[in-house]
Amino acid sequence: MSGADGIYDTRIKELAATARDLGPVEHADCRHEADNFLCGDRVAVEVARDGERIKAVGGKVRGCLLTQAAAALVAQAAPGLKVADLRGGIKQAEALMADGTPATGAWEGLNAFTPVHDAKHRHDCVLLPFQALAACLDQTEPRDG
Amino acid sequence: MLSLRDQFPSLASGLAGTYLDNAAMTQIATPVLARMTSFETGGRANVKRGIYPLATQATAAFEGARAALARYLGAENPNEVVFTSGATGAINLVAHGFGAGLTAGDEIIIGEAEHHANIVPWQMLRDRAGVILKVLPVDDAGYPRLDALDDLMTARTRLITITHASNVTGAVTDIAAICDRARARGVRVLVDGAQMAAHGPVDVTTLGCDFYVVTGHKMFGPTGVGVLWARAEVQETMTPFMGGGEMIRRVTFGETTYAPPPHRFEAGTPPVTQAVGLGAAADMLLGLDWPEIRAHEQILFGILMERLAALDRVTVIGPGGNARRLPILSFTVAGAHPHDICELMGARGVALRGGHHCAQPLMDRFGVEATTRASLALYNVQGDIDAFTDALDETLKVLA
Repeated sequence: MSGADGIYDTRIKELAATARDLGPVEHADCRHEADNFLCGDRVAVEVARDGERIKAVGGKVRGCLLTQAAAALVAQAAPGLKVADLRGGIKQAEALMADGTPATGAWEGLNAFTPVHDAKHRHDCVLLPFQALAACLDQTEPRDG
Repeated sequence: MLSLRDQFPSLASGLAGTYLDNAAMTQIATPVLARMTSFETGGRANVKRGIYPLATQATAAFEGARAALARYLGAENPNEVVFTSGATGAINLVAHGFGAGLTAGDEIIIGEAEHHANIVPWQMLRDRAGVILKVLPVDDAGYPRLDALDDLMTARTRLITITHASNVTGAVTDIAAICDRARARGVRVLVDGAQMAAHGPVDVTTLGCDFYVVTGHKMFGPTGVGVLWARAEVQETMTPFMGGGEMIRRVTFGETTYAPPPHRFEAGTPPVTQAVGLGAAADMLLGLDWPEIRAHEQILFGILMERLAALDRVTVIGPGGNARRLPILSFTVAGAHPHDICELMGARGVALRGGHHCAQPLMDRFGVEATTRASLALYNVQGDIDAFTDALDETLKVLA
């Protein structure tokens, strides 16, 4: 067993396995495709809103297990949340990668990625779906400031 | 007597581990380090214009490196060798220097298996000058389809630019056959030799090409230096890419005239130490028994292929056991992404590369998003293949 094996714990693998269920979202309000320029992984995110709340998040993942798992987590956690909560989730993902700050509330599932905090070269793998999500939301509702 | 492997400090010390990422960067050799150290500690001066002893010695060392590269590439005239920042720099130099003579509607044929470095500069030229880019497809084994070449060439074709060996599949292009067809129609040929140069001397004269590019860090030399070999008659038609330094003959505020090749293509202070090191690498490689080394590489490669063939979920991309190939092997594993494989293999001391290998069009051709690549060099041994096999076995268990 190597230290890197910790990245691939059961929760991550289970999440990644559900990424194959992602697909197009009917009547999506926005769609954004993000590329990891270093490795070429690609995530497409589609978001359908019902007013202030998120109705569904879908899309397509072409990437490693970490990217798949992160995209699946976004799709599972987002429905029912307000747009502001989604933006909060993006910030929590960034904080978890940057300094290991545990995620809370609706985004507690992010903590499955805690072992990745020590693997800086893989942070972008986890963050790619969140970057796509942020850009997607920006299309419908630009961030304040 | 030192073994070949002992001449590579990072391998002899064990710090490089099981190093199978040679297509990205080879390890540097002791004779290269020694000559660079000697230059830096006892011969450092700027080259070309200085007339004090240290400077003339530095110029001699620099020009000696040029001559060594000419020998390694089979070029009779050392002045056909231009030092660049690498193979990418060399291709960009041609795209500007040769490209400046092209006009809208002229055509360039690019191989489908090219590294992005041999695609993007031509797209930039297309956007500057309106040239038309065409693609020479590869077959299912990854070899350029020579049968398609005649149909692609027209009266407006000016250049074919193609890799000598794919950095993804290891497939070796029949450059001589392409050059024969091109020459018959007055078309120039640029060959990207970045991968080939680590596997023995090249003979540009026999190949019949017009441009050949290599890079130091893939031929056991330093980073930051490469070479453009360009046929003298073609060099004369090229405009300089960058200005300044010793590339001029005379400068006034009204106009500038240029130094003869290769100097007109070497603006500013060149990477002198790196060029000297690359010359040492060429000298070292010229002194090796290549038939023996190639046989050794092929034996190891055969074992690697056998081990992978025994795994159900593995698909090898490229020419398989075909002899016209380099020991560069790309594969996919069903249900396991290359980055995850490389992460876990790396943690077990095995250096591989996973991803698109800067060849996204080729990935599209084979219908894959990425591959895992193991690439061998002259210093690899069977123990490396054994370590690879053991680590892959463990890795696939973790990812299961």
